[in-house]
Amino acid sequence: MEIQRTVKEMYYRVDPKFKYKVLKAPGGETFKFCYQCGTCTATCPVARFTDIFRPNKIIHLAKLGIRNVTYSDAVWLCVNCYSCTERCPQGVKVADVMRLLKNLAVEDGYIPEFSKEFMKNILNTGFVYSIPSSRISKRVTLGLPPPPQPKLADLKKLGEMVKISELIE
Amino acid sequence: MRSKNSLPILIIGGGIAGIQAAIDLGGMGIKVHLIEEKPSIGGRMAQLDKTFPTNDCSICILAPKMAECFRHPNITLHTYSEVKEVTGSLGDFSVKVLKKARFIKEKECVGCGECAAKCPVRVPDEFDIELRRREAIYMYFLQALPMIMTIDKDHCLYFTRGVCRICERVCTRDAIDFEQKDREIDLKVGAIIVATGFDLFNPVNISEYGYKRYRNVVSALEYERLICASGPTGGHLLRPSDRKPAEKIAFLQCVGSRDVKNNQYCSTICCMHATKEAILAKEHDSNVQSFIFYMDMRAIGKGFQKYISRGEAEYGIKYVRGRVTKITEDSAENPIIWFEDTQDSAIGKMKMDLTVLATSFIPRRGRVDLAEILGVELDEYGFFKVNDLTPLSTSKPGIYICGCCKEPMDIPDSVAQASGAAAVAAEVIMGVKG
Amino acid sequence: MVNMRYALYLGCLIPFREMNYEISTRRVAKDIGIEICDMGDANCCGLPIDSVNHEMMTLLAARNLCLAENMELDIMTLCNGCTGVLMKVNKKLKADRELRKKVNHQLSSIGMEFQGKIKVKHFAQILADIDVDILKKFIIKPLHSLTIAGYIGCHIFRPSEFMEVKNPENPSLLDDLIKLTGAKSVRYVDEYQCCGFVEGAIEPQIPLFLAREKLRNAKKAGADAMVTICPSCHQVLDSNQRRAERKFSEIYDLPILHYPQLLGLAMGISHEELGFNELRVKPAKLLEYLMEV
Repeated sequence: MEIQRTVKEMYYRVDPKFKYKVLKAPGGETFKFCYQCGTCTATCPVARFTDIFRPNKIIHLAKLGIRNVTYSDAVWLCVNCYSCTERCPQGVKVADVMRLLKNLAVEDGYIPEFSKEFMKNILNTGFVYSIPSSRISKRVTLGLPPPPQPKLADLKKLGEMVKISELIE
Repeated sequence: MRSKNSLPILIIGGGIAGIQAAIDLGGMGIKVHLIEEKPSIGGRMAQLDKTFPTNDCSICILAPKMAECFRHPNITLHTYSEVKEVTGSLGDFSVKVLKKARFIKEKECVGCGECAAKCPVRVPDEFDIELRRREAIYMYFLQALPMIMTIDKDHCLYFTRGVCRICERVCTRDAIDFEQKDREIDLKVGAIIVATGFDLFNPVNISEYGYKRYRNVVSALEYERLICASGPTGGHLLRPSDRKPAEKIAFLQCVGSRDVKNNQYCSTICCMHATKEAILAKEHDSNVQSFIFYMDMRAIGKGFQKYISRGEAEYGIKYVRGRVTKITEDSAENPIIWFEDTQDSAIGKMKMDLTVLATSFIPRRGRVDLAEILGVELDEYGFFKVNDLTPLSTSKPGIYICGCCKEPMDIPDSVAQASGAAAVAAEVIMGVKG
Repeated sequence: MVNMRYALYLGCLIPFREMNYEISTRRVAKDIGIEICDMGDANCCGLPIDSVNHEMMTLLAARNLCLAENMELDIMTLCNGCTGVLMKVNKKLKADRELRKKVNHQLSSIGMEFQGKIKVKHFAQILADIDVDILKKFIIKPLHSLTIAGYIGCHIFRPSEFMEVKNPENPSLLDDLIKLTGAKSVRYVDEYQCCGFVEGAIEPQIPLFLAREKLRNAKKAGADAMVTICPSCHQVLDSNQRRAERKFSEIYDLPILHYPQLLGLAMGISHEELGFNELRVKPAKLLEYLMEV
């Protein structure tokens, strides 16, 4: 009975339409061509040092409709170096697919802390990191011109355009 | 039904397909002209060591067919020749054939090789894929037919610098003729069979595999020569860098096949020939350990899956499901293979003695010119185009096709198609068509 | 002197964490005759939040492009990540009308419009496009005695489809630039593999593993120093080098220079003026060695 329940649970967690969603979004168009040869994984600089990141397996799970794959750390381990995209014999834009899966996870409300932090920093300072004032004074010491100062009102408006606050709250 | 056409049939290409078609037509009493661009008939099959799934010696089953073709009263061989022009239509083609001068009196030469023994020139040998050097006067291969010599004009000292002529002095039969000229002959034929075969993808294009950069990374056809008793190493499986026995061998599948950047199609026979090559290695040396890196095992044919199972069980071949991403090399020139074993998600690298690339079948060089001469169409990949329900007919009536110039296929399929093409072409002569 | 003007796009890392890169670039550019105009209003290129929202990334990049369009100047970048994103968005917006219409509608809220007037180029690409004979005239102290392992990074040549690189398995850009300085450029295993900088945020150990491999391989190949053209790669190899040494109980002590620093030395500019003091792995031995020869 236990097994049956697990199977049922898993069955309901499968979203057979997920693949169409991936296919339709920019960057996901090529993902159906994957034939699981493992070139991406063998090429990946990250996969060699962790057991949980296997680009080909992630694509396989996404194809099957196991949407949960995007809610794990697994996709976020992709460093977006495009080595996989470069070597894929099927022309799958693997790095773009990983990026898209992250975007879809964020839409579903899964966003890692550091990404949230990045986004907030950009909206608050224009830069992805918060800048300690010591660094700005150091520029003066080194004789460098003042750093850029982006108009924060502009960034806020752009954020509103894509409803970014809904994603990071 | 019209009256009988008494014209001969032209076959372009003297590999196993062309040979079979010629023998079949000859047997029906139809005259055949067989054109081969190389100095001998035999083609790719002559370069192979063994055939799968029976491990028969390739040249041993080919040579009797070559001999039958050579001796057949109805077959006229034109080796070292090319088709230059074709006009006319079904039942009545006019063909211009260029017979290149081989600077040998064909009737006098007995192929004794005295001339080659004294020739001072050494150039890479085409038949042994440049793994060996040959002389400027040479026999195309040991079992060549016609068994006569040819002078390689591009490298012969007499033709390049106006000196030498040693071969002329040593020939006891006065068979050397430096004055020979290329000549054109005109043929009238009723039908044409194209059997020009294939070329192999140059893996230099996949630079991460380091072919030509690493001496111990070879193509599968080079491997066939390395392991063949009549090959450059006399049949000892020695790796090119240091001529030491290769004991750990990796076979990489789909090199240039099933690859959007190169050829999208499957070359169909590589899964089988890799298995054969790994079995042969083990038969040569029981210390050999072979690994075949594949994506999907395509054993399509009777007895093929059994062959693979036997390779695994009896010859200890390790089949690894995963495409190799790159090859590097250590200081001893051992190739190092980087891959994911996709069946247990393990990422690995493995040091090998020798690595063999199963290169993709590609359309033959020169087919664009030939298609234009014949007035037939090529398909999107560059192979000759056929229709699904007339798989042996090109886009032009009276011109038929068989073997690997249509698509990649194995030897039995090529032979079957050759007999088929012979049958449809024979209809033209027997009086059903044309 | 070449006569060029560029809008300098610094990004987030360079102006605050890799100032020596900026110092040396400004110094070298001045001597060569590349005038640099600062983009006072530039924001993050967008790459770090591409994984959060692709659209937001596009808008951030587009805003930077518009700023340069208003300055009527092509953009010079120094960071591979910024280069990749700005080039890609610039190309996409130029080619894809629908996307451009949509983005311009969004940009109108801040009074901007993408017009597709400018190009984006990394400083290394700008140098590579200058006639090599002209550049050679600036090399007054060729570094013949040095052996350099170039580390080109990723986004300047991948994806090759977008970056229009002919030989993505063996890009020659940095190799050629190193040879320009008179130094010997060595090949080493995995030289085109990612530094893993981005991973620092989620799995900080991985960049250390990757740094270790590259440092070891470069040393094995006989390198006196490594040269980067991206602040992220520099962070991993230079700022993290001591951490990697501690983690693996190994000593690398391999100076990591920004390319303009190497070029500056060959141009006879003093190492103080090129910001050498700001490097974490002190290149004292390297400089001493150069003094001797």
